[in-house]
Amino acid sequence: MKLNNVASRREFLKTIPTQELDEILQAELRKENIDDDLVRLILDVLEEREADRPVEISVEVATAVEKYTTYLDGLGKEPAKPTRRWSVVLKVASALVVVGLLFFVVPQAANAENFFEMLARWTDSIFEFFSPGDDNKQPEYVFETDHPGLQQIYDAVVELGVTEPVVPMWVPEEYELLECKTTSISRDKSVHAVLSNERDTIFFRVSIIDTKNGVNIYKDELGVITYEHNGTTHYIMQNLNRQIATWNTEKNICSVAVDCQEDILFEILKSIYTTEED
Amino acid sequence: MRSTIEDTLRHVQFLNRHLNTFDLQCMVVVVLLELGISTKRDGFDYMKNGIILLCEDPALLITKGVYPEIGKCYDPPVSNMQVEHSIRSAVSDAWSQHNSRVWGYYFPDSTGSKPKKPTNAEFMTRIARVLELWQGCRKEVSYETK
Repeated sequence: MKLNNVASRREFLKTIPTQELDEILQAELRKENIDDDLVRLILDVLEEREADRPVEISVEVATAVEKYTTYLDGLGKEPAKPTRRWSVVLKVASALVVVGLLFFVVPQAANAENFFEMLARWTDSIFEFFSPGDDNKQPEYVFETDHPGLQQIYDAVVELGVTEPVVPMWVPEEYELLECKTTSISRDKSVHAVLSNERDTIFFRVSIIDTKNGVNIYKDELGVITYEHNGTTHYIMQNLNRQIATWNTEKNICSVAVDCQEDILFEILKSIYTTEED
Repeated sequence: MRSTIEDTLRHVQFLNRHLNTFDLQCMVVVVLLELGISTKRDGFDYMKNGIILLCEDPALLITKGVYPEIGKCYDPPVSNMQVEHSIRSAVSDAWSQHNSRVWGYYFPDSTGSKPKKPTNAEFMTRIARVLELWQGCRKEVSYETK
C-alpha cells in the first residue's frame, strides 16, 4: 500500500523494526529509480531512534585526523595560509621549454579542532603547473557567486552566447537585483541589469559588438583614468556623480556604473575575473 | 551548535552501520540524498561521479580535472559549463530547503547566524574528504552502545 502523505509514511515507518528498516533502505538504494523521500524518511526515523541511545566512536579521532592530513600533505598539494585564499600561477619561459614554478607555504599542523578549517584551505588553494606547450592555456573560467541577482545576470549573459568573464561575482551586501533584461535590436544584443540597496544603484550592461555600431557612454568633463586587471584595460570615468567603468573583451563591450565610491567599483571589477585574491 | 569532526564521524558511522557496507558509491548516494539532492537531477549523477573521482584522486582539480572527467562519461560528452551549471543548480535547490543539522555534519559553515552555502568545489571536496577520513579509520571502529 503506497502512502502518499509524508507524515503518514513517517508514522508507518516508525512502526517497523530497525533491522527491517535497514533491509528496506539497502534494497531501495539498489534500485535504478530510488525513492528519494523514502530513503530520507528511513534515515530520519533511524536517527531519531539512536538519539536515545547514541553509539560511541571508539576510534581515536585526533590520531585519524593527523594521519589523514599527513596523507593529504604528501600528495604535494600544500594548504594555503589560514587567512587568505591564493591562486598563484608563475611561468618561466626558456628557449626550449616552459617551466612552472610552485610556491609552497608552510602548512599548519592539523588537529581534530581545526580539521574543517584545514579542509577549507585544501579546497581553496590551487597550484598549477604548465607543461611545455601549455603556456597559452588559461584556467577555464567558472562563474561562482552567492548572490542570486548576479547569478541571474550571468544566466542572461550566457543565454546571449557570451562565455567570457564579464559578470561580477561580488557586489556589496544588501544590493538586490531590481531588473535584468535582454534587448535585441537589429544586430545589437545587450543585457542590462540594475541592482540597488535602496540608496545607491549599480547599472550593468554587456553588449555584443556590431562592427558598424558602437556603444555610447556619456561622461562629464573630468578625465578618464585606466585600471588594468587580468590583462584588460578598464576605463573609469564620471558622469553626474556616478562612477562608470567600461571595457571591451574580444567580442563584447561592457560597462558598470555605480553610485558608490571608486574603491567599491574596483572591487566589483576584480570580482569579474576571480573570487580569489591576487 | 556547530558540528565537530567527532559529530561528523559519528554520523558517517551511523550511515555505514545501517547500510551494512562501505561501498563508496552507495555512501556517496546516501550522503547526497540526505543533503537534499534529488536523484532526478543531472547534477546528482555529476556530483556522485565527481565525489568518487575526488576520493580516488584527492589531488584532482575541480575545473581542470573533475568537470572534464565527468563530461567524458557521457555520449555526447557534456561540457564543463553544463556540468558546473547542473551541479550548482542542484546544490542551490537543496540549500534552499536544507536541513541544518545534516548539512552541519559536512559543512559547519552552513550553520549559525550567517550560514554560508558551499561552492561546487567545496561541496564535492568536503564530502569526499569526510568519506575518505572515515574509510581510513573505520577498521579501528568498534560499535559500542551506551
